[in-house]
Amino acid sequence: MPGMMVMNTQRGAATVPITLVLGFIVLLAVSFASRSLLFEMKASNNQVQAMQAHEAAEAGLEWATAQLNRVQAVGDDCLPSAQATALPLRHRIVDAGQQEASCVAVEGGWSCHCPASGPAREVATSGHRAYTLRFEPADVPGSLRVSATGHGGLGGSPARISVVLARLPGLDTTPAAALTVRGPARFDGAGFQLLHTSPASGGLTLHSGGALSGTPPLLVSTPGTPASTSALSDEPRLAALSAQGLHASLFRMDAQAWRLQPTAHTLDCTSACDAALAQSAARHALLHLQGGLRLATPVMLGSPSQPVLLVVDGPVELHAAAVIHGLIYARHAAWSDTAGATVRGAVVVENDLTASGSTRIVHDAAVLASLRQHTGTYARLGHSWQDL
Amino acid sequence: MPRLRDQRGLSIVELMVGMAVSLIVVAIALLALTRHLDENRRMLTEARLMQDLRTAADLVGRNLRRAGPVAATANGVRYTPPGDSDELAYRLQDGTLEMKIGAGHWQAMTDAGTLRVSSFTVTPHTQEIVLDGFCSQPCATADASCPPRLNLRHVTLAITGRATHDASVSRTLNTTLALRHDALVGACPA
Repeated sequence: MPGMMVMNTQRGAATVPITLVLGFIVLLAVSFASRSLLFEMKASNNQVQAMQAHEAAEAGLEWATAQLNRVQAVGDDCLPSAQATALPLRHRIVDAGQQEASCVAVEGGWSCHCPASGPAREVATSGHRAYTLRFEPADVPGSLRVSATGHGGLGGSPARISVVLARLPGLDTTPAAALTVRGPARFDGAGFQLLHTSPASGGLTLHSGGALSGTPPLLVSTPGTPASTSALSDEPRLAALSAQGLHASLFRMDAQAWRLQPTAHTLDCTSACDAALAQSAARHALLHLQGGLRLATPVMLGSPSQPVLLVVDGPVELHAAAVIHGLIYARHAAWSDTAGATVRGAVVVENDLTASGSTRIVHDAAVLASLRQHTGTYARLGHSWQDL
Repeated sequence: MPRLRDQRGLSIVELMVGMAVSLIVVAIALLALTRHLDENRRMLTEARLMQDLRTAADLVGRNLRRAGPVAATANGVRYTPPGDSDELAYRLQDGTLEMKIGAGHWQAMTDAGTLRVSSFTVTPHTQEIVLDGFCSQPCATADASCPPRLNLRHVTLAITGRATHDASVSRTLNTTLALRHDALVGACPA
């Protein structure tokens, strides 16, 4: 019959869609039968995501603490930078107004973004474990509230936690005198000069727990104040302090704990160490000098805005007209100066002092205040951890 | 087209063989289906049990993480959040995990209709750091509170539960939590 399909000419084209439909029905049936397994997988996945997000946020807080205690200048990628305008993250946050940072876990570590201003790079949709940090001043003066938002690798809800980081100052108590000696002080030669000309900080030039002997140093105090009244010797409260007590009253910790601070750097200065010391002083504000302080070239250590704190375990031998901005805490009695070095800030001697030469020590309250305000170690404030 | 007289039916042998094969196939299919349904029911029970345990452990862990002092009790744990005078607690009571929500009031955290908690243990651990370098005066020999010490704490949490409708389904969930609020005990000499 023309126009009609004959049975024996058919090739079974309808079998394909029918088979596909049947296959789909079987797939649905299997999925339905396995819904409990799928539910369990989903619940486990959610658990993993929540845990990853929480751990990422915790990692963010640890990263922030480490970065705030790091003295190296960093760029916008949070990595060390040699650019002249680069600043350590601490200065970027505390002084320059940086408010955010973010990091994404990539192969081999974290890839971070530290913008000088404005929001950090968005990481929530990166598809990797990530965290965003926000820095704000906290209620306690000088402290920071750091809030971390963590993200798991496959989406899910973010985890938010925060903590207050407070700064344990590198110098807790500012010395009142240009030169403080816990025991007796002996001066050989006539070149030692102690100056404290600011009435606001008291004008005390010399403060000792023992007697003075030898050739009296040149004392210059506030205008109109007789030199002899600006020196306080045989002071019983200072003499009553132990060496550890003097250290703890200045730094709020003993020498070993001070050296273990993450911001303190140890340098061997058994022989002249000018270059290494100048290089270290440019990066570290807290320096522990093993073997003493020996300078042979007229270097300048620290500056009025970025002073240094030198804890010296050994004799001080100055053979060049070096200039030091900051505080020298000497644990050894011997101090010799053959060239006329200058210390702007203060000098504290932990035990007795036997000084010779012509060092000029100028009490500078601004330098010491800068040490108090900008150095030290950030640590978590107790009971400040919060999950939001 | 084939005509009717050319068509042939099936012989009795063919029918018997066909039916036998069909019966074997159907029997195997029914057996597999029964086993699958049984497995499915068991898996659903396990999943529900794990989900209930996980939810309870998450809730306890989240609150313990921000706790201050933690003390294990005979059937649970009690703790005080920092800056808060009210003591909070969790306990196991008649197969149900309960949370203290006020003076003498307890709220069930698990549903006894689906889960019977057979064991709930919280074990506190403390790592002590002696802060002897932070005092300007030496400690008196007889003063046990000097020098101050920093206690870093963590707890191990274990919950064992059994499905109410199938006593053979039992699971234990173990987790370790770091408590975020370190405790400072003792003080330097005045």
